[in-house]
Amino acid sequence: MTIPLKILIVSNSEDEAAILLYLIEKGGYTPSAQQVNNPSNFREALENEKWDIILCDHYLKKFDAEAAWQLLRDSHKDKEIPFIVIGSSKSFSNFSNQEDVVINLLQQGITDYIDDINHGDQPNSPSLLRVLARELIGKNVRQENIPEQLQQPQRQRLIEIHQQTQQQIPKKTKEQIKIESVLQEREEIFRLISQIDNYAVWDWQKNSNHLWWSQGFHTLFGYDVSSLAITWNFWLSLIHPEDLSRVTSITQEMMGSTNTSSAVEYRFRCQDGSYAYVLDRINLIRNSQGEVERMIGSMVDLSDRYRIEKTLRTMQERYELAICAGNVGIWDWNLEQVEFYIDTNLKSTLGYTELDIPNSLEAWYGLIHPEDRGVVMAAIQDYLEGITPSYAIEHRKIHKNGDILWFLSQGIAFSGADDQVIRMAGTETEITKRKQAEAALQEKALLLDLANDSIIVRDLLDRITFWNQKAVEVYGYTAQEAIGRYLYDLLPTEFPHRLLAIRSQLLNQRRWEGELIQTKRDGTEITVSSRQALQLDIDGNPRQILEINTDITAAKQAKATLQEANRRWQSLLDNIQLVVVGTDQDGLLEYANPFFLELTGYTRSEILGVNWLEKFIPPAFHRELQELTLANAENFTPHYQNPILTKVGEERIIAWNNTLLRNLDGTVSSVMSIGEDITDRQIISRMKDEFISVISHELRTPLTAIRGSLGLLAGGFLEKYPEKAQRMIGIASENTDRLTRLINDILDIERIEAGKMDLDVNPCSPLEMTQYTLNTLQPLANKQEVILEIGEIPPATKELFLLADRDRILQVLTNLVSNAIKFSPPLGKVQVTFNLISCLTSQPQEENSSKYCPILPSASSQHILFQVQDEGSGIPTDKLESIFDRFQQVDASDSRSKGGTGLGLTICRNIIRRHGGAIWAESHLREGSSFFFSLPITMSDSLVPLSQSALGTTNLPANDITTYPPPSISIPKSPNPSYKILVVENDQDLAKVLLATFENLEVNAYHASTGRMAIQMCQEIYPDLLLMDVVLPEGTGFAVIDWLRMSRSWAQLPLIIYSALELTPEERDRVSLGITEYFIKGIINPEELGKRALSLLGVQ
Amino acid sequence: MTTRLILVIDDEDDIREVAQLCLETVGGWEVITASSGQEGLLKAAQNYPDAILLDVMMPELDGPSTYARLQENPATIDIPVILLTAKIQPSEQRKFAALGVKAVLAKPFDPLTLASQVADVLAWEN
Repeated sequence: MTIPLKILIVSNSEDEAAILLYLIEKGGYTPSAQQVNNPSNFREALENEKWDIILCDHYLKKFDAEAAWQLLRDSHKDKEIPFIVIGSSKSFSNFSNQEDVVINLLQQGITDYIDDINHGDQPNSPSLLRVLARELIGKNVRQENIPEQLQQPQRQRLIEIHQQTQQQIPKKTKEQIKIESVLQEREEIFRLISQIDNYAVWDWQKNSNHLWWSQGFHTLFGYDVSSLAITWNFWLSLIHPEDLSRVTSITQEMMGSTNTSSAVEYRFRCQDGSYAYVLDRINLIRNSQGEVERMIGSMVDLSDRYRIEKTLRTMQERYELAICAGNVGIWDWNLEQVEFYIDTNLKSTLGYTELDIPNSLEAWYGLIHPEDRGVVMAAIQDYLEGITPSYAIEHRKIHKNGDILWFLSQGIAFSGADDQVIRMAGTETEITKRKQAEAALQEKALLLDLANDSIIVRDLLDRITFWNQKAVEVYGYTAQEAIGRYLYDLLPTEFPHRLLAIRSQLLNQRRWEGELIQTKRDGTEITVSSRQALQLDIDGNPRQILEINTDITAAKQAKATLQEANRRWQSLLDNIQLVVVGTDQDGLLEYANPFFLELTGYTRSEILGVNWLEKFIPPAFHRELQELTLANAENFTPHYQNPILTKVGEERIIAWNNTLLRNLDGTVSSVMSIGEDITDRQIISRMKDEFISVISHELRTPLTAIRGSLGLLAGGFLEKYPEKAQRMIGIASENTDRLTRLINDILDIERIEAGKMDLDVNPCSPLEMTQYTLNTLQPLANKQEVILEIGEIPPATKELFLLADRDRILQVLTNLVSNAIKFSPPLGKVQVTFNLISCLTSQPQEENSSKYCPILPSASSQHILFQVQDEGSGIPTDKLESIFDRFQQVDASDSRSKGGTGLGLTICRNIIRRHGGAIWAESHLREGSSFFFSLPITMSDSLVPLSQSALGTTNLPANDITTYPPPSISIPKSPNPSYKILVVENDQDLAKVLLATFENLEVNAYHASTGRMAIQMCQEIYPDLLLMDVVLPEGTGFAVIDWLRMSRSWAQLPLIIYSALELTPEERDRVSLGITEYFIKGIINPEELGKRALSLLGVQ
Repeated sequence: MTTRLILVIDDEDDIREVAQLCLETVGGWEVITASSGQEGLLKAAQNYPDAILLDVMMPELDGPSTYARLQENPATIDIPVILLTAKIQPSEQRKFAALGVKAVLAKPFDPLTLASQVADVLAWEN
C-alpha cells in the first residue's frame, strides 16, 4: 500500500537524488521522479508534468533554490506545488549564516527547508517524511506511516514558525479554516522556542501596545523577562540614544510600506547599564486588512563582532602611529565588503601620492614586483587556508622611479563570529637597507672566508656559530661539521691560563689574546695566536665571542729553531778559541766575545762602544788599517793580519777573517771579524826560520872549508906548494869530522825531541860515572893544562845508586866537563861533585850569585845532584838560560874553535829532562861557572820503587838507600785497599806495634822512619791519613807538614800528631793540615790511636 | 897589471886560510886577513886594501856591523866590500844586498872562480 508520488528533483547529484527517492520510498510512497539541474530543463519539466512535490537543492552549479522558486512562481501553472529546499552543510559554515539564508528563502515563500538529508551517519529522513506528510494532507496522501517518534529539532521548528508566519497571510485568504487555532498553537510553540538562549525575540502587539520578550533577554542582556510586560516606548528607551532615530525610522518606514522585514544593527542597553551591539531582524505582520498587527524582532548579540572591529580600529590607529614613526606602510583588506585600503605612507614610500594609487586589492597587487606577485599571493592564500600559521613574506616592490625596493609584508586575518575571515590587515616594512646590509654581510662572510686566519664565532655556551673557510682548512672540519658543536669538544685545547680566567677577562674586558695549542681533526697539534672579542647586542648584553686564530706553529718552530741556532752560535762564540769582534759603521766596537776579553784583559763594559782603531791598534798600523775601514767597503779586504794591544800594552798578532754585515737593503751596517791569535805561531815560525838559517849556516861553514881546500887541490894550484897542499888536506879532513859531529848532534836532538830516545835504565853509580868521565877527558885536560878532580863527597853518598841510562848520563857529564875544560884558562881547575838532595833541602841562596834554579820535579824527593865547576870566564846572567838552546853558545867562535857544535847543552838538557831531572847553570863572571844537573834516584815516569825487582838484579850493598823496610810498604794485605795510613815513627818498636794495630783493623799501613822518608812515601803512596811523631830525624814533623802544605793535594790530609810533650797552640797550628788530632805519647794507647785513625777516615 | 891588496875578514880560521890561499894562487893578489870585525877595521884603515871580503856571521862585531863601521870611517869608506855568507835564504841575501855592499857571495864558494867573481863585481881588468 503505497502512495504514488510524482517528484521533481532539482539537483546536480544523482546520488543525492537516489537517496531522496530511497527515503521517500521507505516512507511508504511510490515515487516517480525526474531530475533536473538547470533553469531550462526545470522550466521544461514544470511545463510538461504536474508534480506532486519539488525537491530542490539549495545550491547548484549554475542554479539555486531561490532562482528555481522564482521560476516556479513565475510559471503561473501550479504555484501550489510544495517546494522544498534541501540544504547542505557544505553550503554553510555556521548556523547563523545558514539561518539568515533559510529565513530569507522562507520569507520568499518556499514550502519548507530541510537541512542536509545526508547529514551525519543517518540520512535526515524523518524531517523529509514529516514535511511530505504535512504537505500532502490535502492530497489524499496517507499519513499512517509517519513514525510517531519523529521529533523536530528546535531549530527546525523555528524555521517552520517563520515559514508559517510568512505564509499565513496568503493561506488565510485562501483557506479560512483553522487559522486562529493554528495561530494559537504556533504562538505557544513560538514562545516555547523563544526560550532558547542566544536569541532574544520580542513581539509587539500593536493593539495592546504590549511587548513580549523572550528568555534570551535574560540570558543576553540580564533582564527579568517574567516580571515585565513592557510597552513599545519602554522598548525604545532601551535603544542607545544615538541609534534610536535610525531604528524608529526603519520601523516607521516598514509600517508605511509593503516591506515586511528589515534588519538593523544598534546598541541595546543591558540591565547593568552597558550597551550590547545587536542585530535585530524585524518582521512586520499585518492582518488580512493590511493593517499593522504586530512586530516581531529577533535579536542577535553582535558585541563580540564589534569588539573585534573596535580592536581592529585600535590596531589600525596603532599601525598609523607606527607608520608615522617608521618606514612602515599598512594595508587593510575587508573581505566582507571587498574593500582594500592602502595607506599613504606605503604609497609615498613608493613615490606615489595618495591619489596616484587607488585603494584596491588590484592596485596593491600591482605595486608588487611582477616576479614576486605569485609568491606573495600564494603566501596569503596559504595563511588564509590555515596551511601556514602566519603571513610574512619578503618581496620586491617597484618605486615610481623604477627602483626596486624590498619590503617585508606581514599580516593578520580576523575572523567574524562564524570563523569566516572577514578582514585581513598587514604592514609593509621597507627592508631594502637591511637587504643591502645582508648582501654586504654575505660579501663580508665571503671575505671572512678569504681571510688568512681561522675565524670562529661561538655563542656564550661555546657553541660554534660561524666557521670560516680558513678554519676548515686549518682544523679539518667543514663548517657543517663544526657549527653547533661545542668549540672545545671539537678542538681539544691547551690554554695558557685557566679557562675560567679567560672567560672572566672576556666578559670584563671584552678582549683576550694569547696562545692556544689546539688539536686538529687529524690529531696533530697546532699553536695559534688567538684574539678573542666579546660582542654585545644592542642592549649591551653579551651575545657571542669572535675568535681569530693565526696559525703560528711554523713561526714557533722557526723561532725555536732560531733560538737553538742562536744558542749554538752563542755557545760557539763563548767557547771558541778565536777572537770575534763586531764593529759598526763608525768603527765602534759593538761586540766582543769572551776569548777576546780574555786575550786583551778587558771587561766587556770597558770596551763596548770604544773606537776600535784607537783603542786596539798600535799607532804604526793606523794608516794601513784606516784604508780597510767601511768607508772603503768596495775595497773590503777579508783577510789581513795586524797586532792588537792588550790592556797591559802587549801586542798580539791576529790573523783576521772579516765579513761585512749588510742590512736588508744591502747597505753595509757593520763588520764581523773573526781572528786567530797567531802571536805564538809567529814566534815559533820565526824561531823555525832562524833555526833553519842557523843550521844551514852551521853546516855550510865546515862545508865551505872543505869545498875551498879540496877545490884548490883539485885545481892544481898547489902542486908547487906541497906544504900548503898538505895543509889544505888537513883542513878538509878536520872539517869533515866537524860536519859529522854536527850532523850526529842534530840527529840526536831531533830524535830526543821527537820522543824517540829510548833510555836503557839500569842502576848506576854516580861515582863510577864521574870517574869514568874524568878518565876519558884527562888527555884533553892535560892538553889544555887544566886540572880535573872529583870534589868532596860524603862516603854514604858515594855508595848511592840511581836508575839511569848510563851512556846518556856519561854523554852529559862528558859534554859539561869538556866544555869546562875548553873554557878554562891554563892551570884552571875543573871540579866534579855529586850529592844526595831532597826537596826539603832548598837550593843554596847566595847573595850576588847569578843562578838559575828550576823547580825540581816533585815525583821523587831524592835526587843525585851533580855539579861541574870551572874557573873560566863565566857566563853573562842573561845567557844562563839561553845557553841551553840550540846554537846559543855564548861565543860561537869560542865553541867552534874548540870543536863544539853549539848543540851540546841542548842535548844535555834533553837527556836530563828525559830522566826526570833538571839542569841549570850558575855563574860568576870572571870567577867561573857551575853547571848542575839532578837525577832522581828512582825514575819518576817508570815509578819503579826501590823494591827487590830493581835492587835485586844488582848487587847493591844494602845501605842507606834501602833503609826503609821494604816488606811493610810493598805488600798491602788489607781487604780495604781504599785507605792507606802512613805511620811516621822513628822508634822501631813503637812503629811495629802501630803497624800491627792497623793490620788487625784491616787497614793498609805504611811506615816511614824519618821526615824525609815521610815526604817521599807521601808522594809514592798518597796516604789517606798521616800518623806522625813530631820528633823525627832528617826533618822534624814540622818540616814534613811545612812541605806537605806547599802542595794543594795535601792541604786537607787528616793528621794524627803525637808527641812526648804537649804542643803549644802555635806548634799545633804548625803541624795541622786537614782534620788534625793531637795526643801525648803514653796517655793514649795504640788501640785507641788506631780507633781514632779509623774514625778520622770515616771507617767504623 | 897592478897588484891588488885584498882583506879577508872571517872568524873561521880554516875558511880564512882557504880563501887567502885561493885569492893568492888563483887571483894572484896580495891577501891580508883578520879573524874578527874589530881586527878587520884596524887592518882596513892601516892598509887601505883594494877590496874587503867580509864574513857575515861573526861573534861580537858581525859582518853588517863591520861594514857600517867601515862606512863611518872616511879612511875606509871608499873601500869596496863583498860579503861572504853561509846564510843563503833569499830574504837574508836581499837584506845584505840592501846594505850597500858591492856583492853578496854565498858560501861554500868555488875556490877556482872566487877571484874572478870578485874581479867581475869590481870591474877589475885582468
